[in-house]
Formats: sequence, structure tokens, C-alpha cells
Amino acid sequence: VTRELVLRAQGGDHQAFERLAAANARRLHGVAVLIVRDPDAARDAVQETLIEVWRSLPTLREPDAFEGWLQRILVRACYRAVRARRRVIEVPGLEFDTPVASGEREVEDRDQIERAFRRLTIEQRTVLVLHHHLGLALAESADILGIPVGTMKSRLNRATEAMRAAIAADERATLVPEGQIA
Amino acid sequence: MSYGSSDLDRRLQGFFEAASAETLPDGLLDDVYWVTQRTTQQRGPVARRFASIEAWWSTPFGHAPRLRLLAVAALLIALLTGSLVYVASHYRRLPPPYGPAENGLLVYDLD
Repeated sequence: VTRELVLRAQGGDHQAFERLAAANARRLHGVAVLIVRDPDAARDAVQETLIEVWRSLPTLREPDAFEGWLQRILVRACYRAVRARRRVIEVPGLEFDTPVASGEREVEDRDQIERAFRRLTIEQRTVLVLHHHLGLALAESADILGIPVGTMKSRLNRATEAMRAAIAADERATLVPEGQIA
Repeated sequence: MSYGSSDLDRRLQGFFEAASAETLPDGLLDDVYWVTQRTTQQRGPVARRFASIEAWWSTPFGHAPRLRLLAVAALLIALLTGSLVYVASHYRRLPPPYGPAENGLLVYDLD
């Protein structure tokens, strides 16, 4: 179905493009939110991505490569959105829709991961999202980022280490009572 | 407390799932469609190669079709006239014994 829609949209069929956009928008937004850590920047990145997709679709040679191509455009748009906003200061945490049935421990755990994740650089967040969230192989992720597989592997290792360090720092911060120096 | 790779992976995946479950902002797609309906698509790789020819063919002398037809016709007539003048001015009669035979006696042999 996707291939057919891509082919039709490549030929200028706007309805086909709208169906493609609607089918992918939520996933794209989820990825953008994770990478840029800012709701407005994520919205900008997704909009920019979809507009770019519409404009450039006829240049896509292989319709089956649509998914990877889409993700590549999104990642670039995320980087641009972050650069445009230049938010060096701490970004306020995003509130996610947590299931009501979730236990307190689970919520705490997720909050801790979120705090740690927010401390990472955009490059580190991107590799973690591509690998762990989208489930892409190293070669696919490397292709999306336009880097060699070896670089992708080392970047993923560094991001994982940074995440571990951030979690450990967060735990130390919560263990030390207020007013005391660790 | 240290975390093993699989434990961190599991926690990250749980966090990512929750984060990606966020709803799409209102009006995001409407704004996109508003722009894309007014935006032309880029040309594909094959079409792009012929774009300059196509552009010339569609408007070789501007956008007025009558003027275009007249211009093409005038160009063809000018080319034809020029060719005729050139051929006529360069025509040379070949000296005898070459060239077409003149009227006169026929020479022949009798045994």
C-alpha cells in the first residue's frame, strides 16, 4: 500500500500524499520529540519534514526506500530545528501521557530515564532513538545520519555510556540529602 | 547501582514507547496540507534532464502562442530563402566536354 501511495504521490496526487503523511505523522512526531526535547521544535521539524517530502518525492528513485528516506529528512529537520532555536538553557521536561495503571515505581523510573536522556547531546539522543526506538540496524542508522558504520557504532557506545553516567549522577543527586555536598 | 546493557535497553524502550505515545499537536497536518497544496513538487531525475528542453519548447519565444507560431514560420521561410539564394549564386555551368550534350549531328562508325 505504501509503495502505491508513494508512486501516486510522486506523480503529484495530493490525496495519496495526505494519506502517507497521516499514516506517518504521529511516529515522526514521537521521534522528533525525543530528539529535540522541545514540543515547538518537534512540531516545526515534523512540518518541515512533511513539506520537504512532498517537494522532493519525485526525486526518490526507489519507492521501497521511502521509510529510510523519510527518517533521514526528519533527522536533518530535527538538527535544523534545534540549531534554529539555540536553546542552550535547560529545556523544560515534557509531560508524557502515562497510563493510569502504571505503578509509582514505573513512573519514577521513567522520570529518571527522561532526566538522564535530557542531559545527552542531540547526536547522542539521535543514535539512541534510531537504534532503540526505531529498532534500526547500525548500517541503516549510519545511512540515515550519513556517517560510516564504525562511527555509528562508536557514537552509540558513547551515547549508552553517557546515558549510564547520567542515570548514575541522577541517583547520586537523589540519594544526597538537601544541603549536603556529595 | 550499575545497569547492564539489557536493563538499560529495556528501560529506554519503555521510556521511548511512552514518549512516542504522545498525541499529534492539533492542526499540524492541516498546516502541512495548506502549504503542500500551494507548493509544486521538484522534478524527478529523468524529467530534470529534459527540463531545459521542455522549458524552451513550451515557451521558446515567450508566452504568446501566435507570436511563437509567426516567429517559427518566419525562421523557416528565412532559412529556405537563404538556402535557395546560396545554391543559385554558387551554380556554375561545367565547361565542354562536361555537362549536358548540345543539339547537333550524331557521330557514328560504319564498318
